[in-house]
Amino acid sequence: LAPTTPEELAREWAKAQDVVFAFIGSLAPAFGEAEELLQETAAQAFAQAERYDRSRPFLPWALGIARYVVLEHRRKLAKDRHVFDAEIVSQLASAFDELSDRADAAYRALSVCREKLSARSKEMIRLRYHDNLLPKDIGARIGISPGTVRVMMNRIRQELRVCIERRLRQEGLL
Amino acid sequence: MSEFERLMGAWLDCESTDEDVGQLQDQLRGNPGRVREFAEQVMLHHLLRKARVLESPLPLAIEGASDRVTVGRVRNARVSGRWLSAAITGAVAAVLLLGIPLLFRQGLSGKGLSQSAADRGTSPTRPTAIASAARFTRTESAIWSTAARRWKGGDVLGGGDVVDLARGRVELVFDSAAVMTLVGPAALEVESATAASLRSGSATTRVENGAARRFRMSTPTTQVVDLGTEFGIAVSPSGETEVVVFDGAVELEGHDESPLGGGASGHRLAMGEGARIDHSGARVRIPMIWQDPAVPMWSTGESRPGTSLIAAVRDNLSNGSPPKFYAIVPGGFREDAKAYVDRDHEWNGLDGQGLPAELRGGDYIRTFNDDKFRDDIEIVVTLARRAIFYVLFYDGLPAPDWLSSEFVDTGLKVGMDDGDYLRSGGELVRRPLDVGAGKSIDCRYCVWKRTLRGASDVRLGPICNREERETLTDQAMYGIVVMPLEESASQ
Repeated sequence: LAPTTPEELAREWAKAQDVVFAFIGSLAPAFGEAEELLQETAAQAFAQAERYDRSRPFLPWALGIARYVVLEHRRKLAKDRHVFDAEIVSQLASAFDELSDRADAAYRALSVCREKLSARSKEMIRLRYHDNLLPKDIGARIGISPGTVRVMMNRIRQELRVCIERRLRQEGLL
Repeated sequence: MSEFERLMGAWLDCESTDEDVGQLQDQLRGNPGRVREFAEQVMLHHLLRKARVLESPLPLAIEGASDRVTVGRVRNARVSGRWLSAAITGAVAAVLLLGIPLLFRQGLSGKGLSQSAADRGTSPTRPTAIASAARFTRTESAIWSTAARRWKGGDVLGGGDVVDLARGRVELVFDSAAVMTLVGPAALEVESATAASLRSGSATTRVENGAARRFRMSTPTTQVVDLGTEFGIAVSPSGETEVVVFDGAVELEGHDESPLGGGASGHRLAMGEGARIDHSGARVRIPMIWQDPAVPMWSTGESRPGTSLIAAVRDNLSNGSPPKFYAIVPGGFREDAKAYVDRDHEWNGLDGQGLPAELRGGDYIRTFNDDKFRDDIEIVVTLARRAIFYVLFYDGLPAPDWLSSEFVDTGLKVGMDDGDYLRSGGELVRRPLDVGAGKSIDCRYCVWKRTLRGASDVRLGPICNREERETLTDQAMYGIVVMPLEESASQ
């Protein structure tokens, strides 16, 4: 086991945090809950630093801790019905691991792609992610049904994903 | 919308029923393609959330403050760093700059502080008699070091309190109105309302000119005294200190026990200048920094941010020249982007249509406007990969040979909002910066273009030669923007 210093661990954590957060979000989508679980994951990662072998990739190790933290949290809250089974969780961890090398580029592309959205789409994104409103609240705010909001949000997310993918291809990252 | 898309949307919006979750599991199980699609969708969800957090103004974390102050115009409201800029503009700024001292005075009365702490539910172990020195106004994805106290927005810090941040970003407002952004990993000890000690990591501090007292930051190798400014300090793991000045000026002083010596035998750094101070007290120029376009974050690390098209920038200036730095801003070329490191000037579109689309969102370099006076300057920009390289050249100047021979004039134009400026003779002309495209445009720049089909060095010269300089009455340094070159265009 190659020991790691707290500084090294902090650097690794800084690089991995976005992906770990997204992974947690795939298992616990509520923003506030996900942030709490990220905090707990970080605390456990630092507490278990001596178990991390720096000769091995950091992200899978951190994802393993996150997975444990989420499952334990859900178990305590008796929310286990809303947790994916072990096989899917494992597949998700692998998928996020694969996405990790272009997370930064995707974030940068997103800022450009957002600018290309229509004014109405930008407003929807703002209400959902800035004001943290759910579809029923967004619908009430702008006078359309929650179902329509869900359809529109889905289209906007799809549009952004296509745009991001196109830009990543242009940069040779796909 | 397919059923799978509906299920993903319901999951992300926390609207899934038990049945939905079961169906989503069924769709994911044994289907790697859908697992990947789901992961990408969640990642997008997270990035949108992250963008929201980074772009949002400061939360009103100061309980009860909004009804204590009168919202008014805040002096010097436009600062570099949009997060801070947004924070110091308007009502929130009024709360920060005017309301906090009021709150602290109430806190110091004892009753006010203890009541405040009780209301916040903060640790009862903290003695309420400790004089407040600063307050957390924001924590952003903060991860605290093991065994460190987990601070949160609204917490009050007194002298001796330590902020030990493993990851993320936090903001503190000192009682003296100094606003500090600390980026983890970092360790900071608050000494008083006007002093702090940075043990490791980096911090960016803004002190308004009107602040009654100077703010002092100590590091293992130096002390930095603000002279009405925004400045950044980073302490490396080995203890070396890096100081960069974004606005105003600072003075470097040694500790009594340090090789620089104590007292007032300081060395001044002005806007756009940076220095690294080692344990012997020696100062060397910091030639370039990476600067975040949205928040007051910067670094001098040798490794570039993963997505930057610009790998490095350097020039031929000797050690005897001012210790200026170039600021590389990945993805930062947009309306009101700061043009130079030594001026407040901003890039803007000439009219309401904004900046040319082919430049928007590009990586750009904040150059040093005072280089317009040099006829021997050579700037070398190293590109990380194929790209389109743009030079924004002042419209009133003839194109020098190095530009006209290797670049093509696109015919596009961009504008510059100069803001306040000094007339020859030293008279300060007040022309407040405006916000957005097509407003307060003072001069125009021609957009020149060159296509680079691989990683390479691009060499740029002075704006004119020595003979031409004699006849110039109006001049400005050029800007540099780099955009990705699409694969199809590079073939």
